[in-house]
Amino acid sequence: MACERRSFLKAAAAAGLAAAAAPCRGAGQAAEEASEFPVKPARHFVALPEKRVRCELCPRKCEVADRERGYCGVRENRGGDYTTLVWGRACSLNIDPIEKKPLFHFLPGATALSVATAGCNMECKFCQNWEISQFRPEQIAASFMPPARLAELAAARGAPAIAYTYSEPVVFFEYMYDAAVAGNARKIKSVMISNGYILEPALAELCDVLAAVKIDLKGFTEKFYKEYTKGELAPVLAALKYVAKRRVWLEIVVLLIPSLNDGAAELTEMCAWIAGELGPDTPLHFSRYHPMYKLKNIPPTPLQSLERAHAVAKKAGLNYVYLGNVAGHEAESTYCPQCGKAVITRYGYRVDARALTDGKCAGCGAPVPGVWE
Amino acid sequence: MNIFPGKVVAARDAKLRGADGAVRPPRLADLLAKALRRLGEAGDTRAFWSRIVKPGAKVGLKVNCLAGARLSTTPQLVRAVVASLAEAGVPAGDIVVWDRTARELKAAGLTSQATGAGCRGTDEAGGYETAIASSGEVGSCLARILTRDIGVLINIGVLKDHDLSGVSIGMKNLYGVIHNPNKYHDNACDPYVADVANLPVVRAKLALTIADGTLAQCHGGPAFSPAHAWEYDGILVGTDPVALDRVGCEIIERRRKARGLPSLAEAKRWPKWLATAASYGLGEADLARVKVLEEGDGM
Repeated sequence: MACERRSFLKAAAAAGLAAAAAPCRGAGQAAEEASEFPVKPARHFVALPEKRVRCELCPRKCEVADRERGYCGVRENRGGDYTTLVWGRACSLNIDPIEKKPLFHFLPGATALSVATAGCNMECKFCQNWEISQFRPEQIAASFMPPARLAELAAARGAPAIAYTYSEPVVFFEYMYDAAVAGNARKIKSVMISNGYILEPALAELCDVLAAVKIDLKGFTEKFYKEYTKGELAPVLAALKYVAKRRVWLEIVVLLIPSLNDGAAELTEMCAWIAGELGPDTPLHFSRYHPMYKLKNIPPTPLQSLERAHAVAKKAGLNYVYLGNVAGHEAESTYCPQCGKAVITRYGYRVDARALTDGKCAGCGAPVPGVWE
Repeated sequence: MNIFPGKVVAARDAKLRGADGAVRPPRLADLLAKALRRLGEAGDTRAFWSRIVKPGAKVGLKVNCLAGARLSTTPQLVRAVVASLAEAGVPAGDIVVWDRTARELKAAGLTSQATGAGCRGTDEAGGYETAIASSGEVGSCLARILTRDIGVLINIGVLKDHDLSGVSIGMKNLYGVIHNPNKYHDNACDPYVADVANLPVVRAKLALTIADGTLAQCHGGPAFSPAHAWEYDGILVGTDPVALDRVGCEIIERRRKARGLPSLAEAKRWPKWLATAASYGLGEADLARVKVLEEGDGM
C-alpha cells in the first residue's frame, strides 16, 4: 500500500499537483507541526457535563473527554469544544480515473481529483490503505489544501469531479462538505467513497452537496462487521437506503474475502436485499481482496469465487454487476439489460462508452441509469 | 523485568512544598531516593539502579504530558530521576525523556534544561515502526524510541483519574508507545491496556514504574480539572506495573469517597484491565496480596 500511495503522490506531482502533494514520508515519520493546519469546529456533536462531548457524526457516538479524541483519531475535544484536526489537511492527492473509485455509471472515462486525510471510524483488518486510515493526522505527512484550492485544482486539471477517498471521508466530514460546496460553485461534482458508517443527519447534509456515493458493503452479517471491521452492519444498511432514497447516485462495492464473507447463503441474502431495498439497477462491484494489514493469512480471492458471486447477484435480479481487480475480465464492462449489448467496455481503466448515447443503449435504446454528463 | 513482584512503595512528604506552595526539588529528590532504596531493600540508590539498568544501557523515561503543564509528569520529578541515575553512573546522554510529540513535551515544561536530559517526541525521533506488533486485541506500530533507541523503559505517569479507563497512572501511559491509542478506549479500555503492557518489547524493557502524585486528580481526567486535583505530595514506585496501578487506584478511590464522588465501579469505569493484566502474568491486581511499603508520610 505504501508503494501505491507513493506512486499516486508521484503521479500528482507529475500532473502538476506537486504543490498540493507533499512527498509522504510514510507511517511514523515526522509530520508537520500541527500549527501549520487550522483546527476547525467539528459539527454533529452534543456537549455533555464536565467539558465532555458526544460525537454524533457516526454510529459509534464516541463520548470524548477533554483533551481526548474519538475513535477516528481526527476529532478532538479541546476544553469542551469539539474540533476537527483534518480540515484542509490532505495526506493524499491525485488525479484518478473515476473507474478507480470504482464508479462505473458516473461520468465514464472522466478523472477525479482524489483527496484524503488521515483517519477512519472503522478498523478493517484487511484495510488496503491502513497507512493513512489507521494513523493520526500528526503522524503522517500532509499539505494544506483548503476547499477552494481543491476546486481550483480540479478545474485546472480538467477533472469534472472531486473524490473523497482512500481513507474514510466520513471522518473529515467538515472538510468534505466545504470542498463539495466549493466544487459545486465551479460545476465540479463531488463523490464520496465511503464505508457508509455515518448517522443520518450528517449524511443528509452530505446528500445535499454530493453527486455520487460509493459505499463499501463489507459483508452481510453483524458478526463479520464486529470481528473484522470494528463496525456494525445495520447502520451501513440504513445509510445505503437513505442515499438511494435521496437519489444521489449510488454504487456498492463488496470486497470478497475467501471464507469470511463469500458464502453462497450470505451473498444470496445480500443481493436480494440490494435488489429489494435499493433497486435492481444499483451497480454492485465484487472486488478481489489482497492480503493486507492485519489479515495476511488468507490468500487473494480466486477468480472462481468472484464469478460465483457475480452469478448469485445476477440471479437475484441485479442488472449491473461487476468484478474488480481483475483487469480484462468481461465483467468489467456494462451490458444493456434489455438486449445484452456492451454499452461501456472497459479494460482496466481504459473505457469505451461509444455504445451509450445520451444515457441509452445504442443497440435497443433502453435507458441505462447513471450520471452521464 | 518485574524484579520486585507485588511490591509498591507509597511515599509522601507533608513538607514537600515550600511556603510558596511550590514543590521543593531537594525534598522530592530525597523522597524518590528513599522510595527506591525501600523498594530495592538497598543501602543506596546506586545499588538499586544497578539491578534495574545494566552498564551501557540506554534509558527511556516515558512521561505523560497529555494534560499540559498543570497535570503532566513534573520536570522536577524527572530531574530527580535523571540525577539519581547519574549518581549511579548512567550519564545524561544515555537518557531520553520521551512522549508522543515534541510539542506536548515542551508545553508540559519538559525541556532538557528543566530535566537535565534530552527530551524528544516520537514525532521527531524516528516516528513509528512500519511493521505491526500484536498483542491480544491490540495491533499497533510502536515508537522507534522504544524499539530501537532504548534498552530500559522507566514509565513515569501521573496519578490521575481517567474518563474511560478509570485511572491513568502507569500502564495506561503506555498507550503513548503505540500509534493508534484512539482505537483502544472501548469497554473501559479492557483488555487493551493490559494488551499494550503485554507487548513483548514493552514487557522486556519495562523495568520500573513511577507515579507522579505531587499533584494528583481523582475525577475529570485525563485533562486537568482544578476542582478535582489535590496536592497528594507523593509518589508511587514499583517494578510491578499492575500492583502499582492497583495501589494508585486505591488512593484515587479513597479521595473520591472523601469528596462524595461515586466509586469508579459505580461510575462504570472500574479498571477491569487490572485483572486482565494479572491474568497475563504482568503483576498482582489483588490489593490484599500487594505489599505496600509506606515511606515518609505513607499512603
